[in-house]
Amino acid sequence: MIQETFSQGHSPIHNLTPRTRTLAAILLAFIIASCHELMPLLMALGGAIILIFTARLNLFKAGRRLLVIAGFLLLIWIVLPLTCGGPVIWQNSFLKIGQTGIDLALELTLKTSSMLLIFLALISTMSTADLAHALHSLKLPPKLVLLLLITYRYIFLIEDELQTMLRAAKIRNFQPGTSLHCYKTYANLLGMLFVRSAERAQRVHKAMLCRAFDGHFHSLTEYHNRPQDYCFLGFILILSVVIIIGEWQIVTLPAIF
Amino acid sequence: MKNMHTHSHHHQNNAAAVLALKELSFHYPEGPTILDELNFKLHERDHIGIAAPNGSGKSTLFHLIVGLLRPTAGSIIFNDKKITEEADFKGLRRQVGLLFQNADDQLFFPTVIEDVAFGPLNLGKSKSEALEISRQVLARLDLTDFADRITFKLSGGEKRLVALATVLAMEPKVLLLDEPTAGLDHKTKHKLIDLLNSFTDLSYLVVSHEFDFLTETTNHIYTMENGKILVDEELHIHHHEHAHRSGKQPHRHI
Repeated sequence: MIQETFSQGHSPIHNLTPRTRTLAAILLAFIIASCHELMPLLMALGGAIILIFTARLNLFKAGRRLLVIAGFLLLIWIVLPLTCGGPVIWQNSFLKIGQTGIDLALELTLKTSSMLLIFLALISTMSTADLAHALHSLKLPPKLVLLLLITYRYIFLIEDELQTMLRAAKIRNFQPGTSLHCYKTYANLLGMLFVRSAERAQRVHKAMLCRAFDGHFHSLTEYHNRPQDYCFLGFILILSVVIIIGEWQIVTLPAIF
Repeated sequence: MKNMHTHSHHHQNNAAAVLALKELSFHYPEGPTILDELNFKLHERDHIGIAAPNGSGKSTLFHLIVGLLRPTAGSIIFNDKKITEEADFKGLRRQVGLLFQNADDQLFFPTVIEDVAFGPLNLGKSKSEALEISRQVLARLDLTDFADRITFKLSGGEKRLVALATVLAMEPKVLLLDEPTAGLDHKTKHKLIDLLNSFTDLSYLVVSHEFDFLTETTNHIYTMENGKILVDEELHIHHHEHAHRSGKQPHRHI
């Protein structure tokens, strides 16, 4: 169900502590999200591509993950130029394509793809458990960390239960289709899954109480920064500053569009 | 049955009762009576088995003892102290370890070592102490290589042993084992039998419907019926018919 394809690997990125990678990804995500100019976004995309190559990810597999957002971006490219107005570039009797929409669509495309690439390079290169511990060391509230860890642990069991119920339906000749009977069956299956998951959650909570759980989460993991962690954070910091300078247009650049 | 003769008068055991249940009753709101004025005593180093069919209230009994459920009447006495408040039960749970029927409910961390260390960390141990305790317990159960394994990828038998490790890491005085053999392969079952027999300093209470397992791990076997524990100390001679090859030839069973 969760493959974590990229979590095992040998690359300069895999050698960084999960805390360093998470910190860098969060920092870049905030900066990219607040940018609107073309130049800084192109720089961010360039940085993201450098990170992907540094992480030595299988480019084909990474590319397939990018396809996930392609449909969403396509929709934006269709809708925004027609609806956002601005100076008219092309029109016929009932359609008008405006400059503002194209700028906005381009901005969103650059933002989503560079962020996705950064998260592929920095976050998907660690296991979910590592991510939880990294977030814990970055002072994410313990309740959320525990929620992430336990979700990760039990999602496989919940899938198992779903498969069991689907098998049980199949051996009684259930055929998925578009009938009311079929929808009712799926509704019941889903309802049953909720009930079973809730019951399991109660049993797990009881087991936690039996081991003196009092709402506090203690992590065993400790991270020690090595020289490569400082070097990497330095690189990310320089990239961030360059992007911010570009955004503020302290260095004036000719407009391309 | 192991050491049957050394403990043959169990209810006259002079050692202090670690745990006593007095007229314990339980039913869910508007549900049928599950436990009906049940009386029971567990002394130090007692190894007691309860043979009971499914649905006789065995798990309910265990959950009442550790305070996950509250009795509708009666009392739980631990180390001569009546336990009623959640704060008291918290103290009790440090010394009474419960092995759940379903190991998956008990292992909630991605890796084995994190799961085993969870209890000691909650008890206020430092990281290094918790790791030390966890490694020792895993070594004692021959699970040293399991420390970094992913819990949900373990087999059923491995999960049961790791769940036992998580309970033992709390360093309990009393163990409650709820159907410990459910879903176990032959090899793990025998490992579990050997392990339980090595726990000479602990008291434990095992519920199981596998009579053979109980005879190999406990000194006394009680039964549960109509919400009560029946103490049957008499030895019974009984006859039963059985079939085997060449059974028609005159022969003896020794």
